Amino acid sequence: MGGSAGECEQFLLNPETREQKVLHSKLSNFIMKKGEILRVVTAGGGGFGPAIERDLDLVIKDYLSGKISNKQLRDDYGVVLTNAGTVDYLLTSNLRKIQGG
Amino acid sequence: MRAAIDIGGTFTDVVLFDEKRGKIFSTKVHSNPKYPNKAFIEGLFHIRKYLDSNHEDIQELVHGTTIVTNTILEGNKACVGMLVTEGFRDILEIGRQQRHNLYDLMIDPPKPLVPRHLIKEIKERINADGKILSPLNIEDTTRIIENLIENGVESLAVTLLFSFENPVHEKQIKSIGLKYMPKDYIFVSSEISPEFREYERASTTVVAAAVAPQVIKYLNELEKELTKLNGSKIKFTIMHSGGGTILPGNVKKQPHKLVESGPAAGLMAATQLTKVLGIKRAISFDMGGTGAKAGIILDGTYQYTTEYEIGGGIHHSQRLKGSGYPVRFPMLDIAEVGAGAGSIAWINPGGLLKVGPKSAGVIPGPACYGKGGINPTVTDAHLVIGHLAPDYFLGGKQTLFPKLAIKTLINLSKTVNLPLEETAQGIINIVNVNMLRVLELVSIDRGYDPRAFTLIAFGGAGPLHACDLAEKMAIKNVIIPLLPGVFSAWGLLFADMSTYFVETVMLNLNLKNIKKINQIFNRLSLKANQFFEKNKVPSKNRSMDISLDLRYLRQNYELNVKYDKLTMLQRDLVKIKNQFHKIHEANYGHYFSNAIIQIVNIRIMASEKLSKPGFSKIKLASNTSKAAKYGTQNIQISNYIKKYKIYHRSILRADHVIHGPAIIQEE
Repeated sequence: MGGSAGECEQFLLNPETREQKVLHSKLSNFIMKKGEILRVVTAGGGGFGPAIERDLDLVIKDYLSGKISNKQLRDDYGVVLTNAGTVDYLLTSNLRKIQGG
Repeated sequence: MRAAIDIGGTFTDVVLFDEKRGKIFSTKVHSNPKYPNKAFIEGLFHIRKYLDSNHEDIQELVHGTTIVTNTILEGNKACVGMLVTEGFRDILEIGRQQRHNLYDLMIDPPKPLVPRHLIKEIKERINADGKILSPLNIEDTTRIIENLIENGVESLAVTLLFSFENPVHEKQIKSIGLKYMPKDYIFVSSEISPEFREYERASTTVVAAAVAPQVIKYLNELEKELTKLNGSKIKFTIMHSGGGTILPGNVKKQPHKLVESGPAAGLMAATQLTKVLGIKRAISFDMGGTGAKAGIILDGTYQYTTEYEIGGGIHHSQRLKGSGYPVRFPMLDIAEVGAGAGSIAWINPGGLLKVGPKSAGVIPGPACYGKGGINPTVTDAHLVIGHLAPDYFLGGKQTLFPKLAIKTLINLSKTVNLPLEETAQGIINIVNVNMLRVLELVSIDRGYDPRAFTLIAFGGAGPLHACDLAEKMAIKNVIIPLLPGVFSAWGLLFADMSTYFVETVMLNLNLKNIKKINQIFNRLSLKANQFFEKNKVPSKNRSMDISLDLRYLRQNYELNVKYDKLTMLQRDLVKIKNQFHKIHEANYGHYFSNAIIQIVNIRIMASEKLSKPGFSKIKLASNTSKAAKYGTQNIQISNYIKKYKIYHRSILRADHVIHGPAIIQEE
C-alpha cells in the first residue's frame, strides 16, 4: 500500500530485567511463576502511502498526542521542529526531498 | 402541591397535581433543544398562572431533562483533562474492542471524549489488594495539572488503577486540583463509580467531567427561575436514570446520573398504574414526536440494567455495543427506537417506502402544522386518513392543515404509485413495524410471552398506534391512561428521592468470608443512613433495596441477585446460592450446582418512600350503558369507506361499552 514495513509482534517475559526472555509468538502450555511479568507488544502496520507525504498538520497532531517520538518525526516523517516547537518549513522541505530520494 | 416539568425531544410536558381540589393541571409547550431552559421557563410560567389564579403555592418541583445526552451529542462538551496511572494513557481509545458493526472494515470507533494530548500519566501504583506499591509524586502531579490548565482544560477526570480498593491517591490528586479549579469541576473515579472494570470506571468519570460545566450552568439558571417563583421554599429535584429523584447539589457532584432522565419517568408512571390496578404483567409503551420507548413491568417492579452507552447507535432497537461512551449507573431497562409521530417518510434508492429515523422535529414540524415543513410525516398520514381532527389537535391549541398534509403526501404517492390513502396507511404500517420491534425486544426477546401482558400506551402518539400494535402482538388488554400526552411527566410525581452505594467485594460466597461480607454491608448501610440523615428523611420513609452481583468463580460476567437483609447469616448462604443458580439458568439455560460462587459487588439503593398522588376513579354511568356520541367521521381507505364514531373521553364513564370502529378524543 506504499507505506513502510510494519513491526512484528513480540512476547517478552520479564522485560527490562536481567531475566528478560523473548518468547515464541505461538506459545502454548507455558507456565508463568507468580510475580513474573509478560509484555505483549502487538504488531503494527506500516501505514498507507509514504510517511514523508503525510500532511504536516496531521503529523504534528500525532506528535503532540504522543503517538510518534521525536526520532520518528525526523527519521520517518521528515519533519524538523524549531527550538520553539513549531515546524521548521525550510529544513522540513529539504529533509523530505532528500528522504524522498 | 407537586409539579413536574419533563423535557422531551419535541414537547415539554407540564403537570401539576392539586391535591386539595383533586385536580390535575397539565399542558404542553414546545421544547427548545438549543436552549432547554427556555421550555422550562415557559412551563414555569403556566404553573405560576395556575397557582396565582387559585392562590396556591407549590412545595416541590420535579424535573426530567435531556441535558446530559444533548451535551454529549451536540458537542458543547467541556475541555476535559484526564489523569491516569502510568501505562494507561490509551484506556479510552482501546476500550473494550467491541466492533459495533462486525463486517464493516472501515468503521470508526467513537472518538475519545478526551484527546490524547490532554491525558497524562501519573507515577503511582496501587495493587489489587489496595496496597500502595509506589507512592504518588506530589510535585510531578502538581506540574502536570498546571500544564493541563495551561492547555485550556476546564474540568478534570482522575481514574487510577484499583482506586475502588484504595482511593488515597485519587483523593490526594483532588486536593492538589482544588488549588486550580472549583471542586465541582474535579471528578475522581472512586467517587463516581467505585467498582472494578477500569474502562467503564474511566469512561463514566470522563462523561461526568465532560458534561459538568453545562449541567451546572443549566441547573443554576433553573434554580434562579425557581427562586422567582416561590422564594427558596420550593424543593427542586431532578429525575435520574435509575427511576428516582436527586437534589441539584448532588447532580453537580454526579452529573452522569441524568443520562436517561426523561425516558425513566414514563416507565415509572406506568409502574404506579399497574400497582393501583393490580396488573401483574404489563408493557409500557411511550411514543412521542421523535422516538418510542418500551419497558416491562413485572409484579409492580421495573427492570434495571447497568450497561448503557451514551451517544451509542441503535440497530433494530438493540443497543450497539462499542458505539458510544459507557456510563455505569443502574438505569431502568428501556428499549428505544428513533421513530415517532414526527418521523419523515421517504423513498429509498430501491424504491421502497421508509419511515424515519429523520424527524421533522419541533421546527418545522410535520407539514400539516403549517410551519414550513415540506416532508410527509406520520402525523400527516394520520390526518389524511382521518385519525386526527384538524381543529382538535392538542385540545385545539395547534391547528392542523389537511391541505398541506395532502399536498406533501400526493408527491410521495405518485412516486410509489399508490392512491393517497393507501400511501398514508403504508406510512402508518411501516412505523408500526418499527414500534413492534421495541415491544418484542422487551418481551419475546427476553423470554416473556406478550399474550399474557397488558399494553399501557401513552405519549403524544402512543394511543393512536396502541390497538394496531396490540393486535399484532396478540395482546388482549390495552390501557390508555388519562392525559396520555403528559403521562411521562405524571411519572415524575411518583418518583422517590434515591441514590445508590456500591462496593466491590471479590470474595467467594462461603462461611469463612461471611464476617468480611458483613463488614461491607455495615459500611454501605452506614453510607445509606448518612444520606438519609443529610437529607432529613424521616425514619418511616427510609427504604433500602439491597442486591448482590454474583458469578461462578472464573466467570467474567456477573448477574444481579436481589437480597433482603443487611447482614448475612450462615443459613442464608444456601438460599442465595439457589437463587443465583435459578437466575443463571433463566439467562443462560443452565447452571452449575457444585461450582463456587463469587460475590463481585454489593449494592444498596437508598430511597425516600413518599406518599403518592392517587389516581381518581372514573364514575360509573348513571343510567345507560351507551356513551354519548359526539359525531361520526368517514374514513376513506382506498375504495372503501369506514364510518368511525367519535367520542369525547371526558363524558365517557367506567362501564361504557363502545363498538368500533371509533375514535376517542381527549383534551
